[in-house]
Amino acid sequence: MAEADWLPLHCAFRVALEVSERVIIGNVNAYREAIVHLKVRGPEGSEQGVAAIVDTGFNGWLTLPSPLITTLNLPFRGRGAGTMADGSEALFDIHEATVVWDGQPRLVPVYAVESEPLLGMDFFYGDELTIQVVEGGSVAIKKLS
Amino acid sequence: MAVSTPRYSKAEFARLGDEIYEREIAPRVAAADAGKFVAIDIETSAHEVDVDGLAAMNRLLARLPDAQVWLRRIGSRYTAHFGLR
Repeated sequence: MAEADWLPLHCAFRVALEVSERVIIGNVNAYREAIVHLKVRGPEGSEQGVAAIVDTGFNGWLTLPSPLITTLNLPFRGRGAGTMADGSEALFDIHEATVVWDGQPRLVPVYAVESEPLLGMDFFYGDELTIQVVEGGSVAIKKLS
Repeated sequence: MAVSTPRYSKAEFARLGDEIYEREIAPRVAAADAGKFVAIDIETSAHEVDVDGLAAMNRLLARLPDAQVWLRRIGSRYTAHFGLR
């Protein structure tokens, strides 16, 4: 009996701990896209809020359209190639930006791609990513220990 | 760090970068390095390898501030995949 009383309390405590570690970083919109709001900073400290779509098929960090890269004056670092979803190949410029992530400024490579900003799997490496796939549902991360 | 600007077309970056990779880097890389990034200066063939692509590029640019950097992976010419491997 004593053990039966103890077990639910123990489970409730553990669940509460896990929930408190989870950080909500965005929401699912009406188009069923998981949107994360980021602050992207250039070398002179100019900063812009960006709504990026979580794309688990993209194995990089972040894509931004060229006009935004120009506005923030993100420094050019090099060029690379990628495969697109239709099987075609794209060549793109690679720039560097500071993104505030998990409360910390982080230097990341930005691929210049003329689509909506995409947030790729590199951002979530080492995290558990959960998405409540309903309109307004939360996009959350939790550090994997 | 000095900011490099591109002096070649995108197609030239790809052609020269992959040529240097196949000729000078691929014969010397270890199988264990597959998937790592390699940043290649398409003018001098200098290169840096790292699991972090930005770190590889920045190390090369610290050494050669005017480098024209082609970034690819060991074993694959693609830096990134957008929904297709």
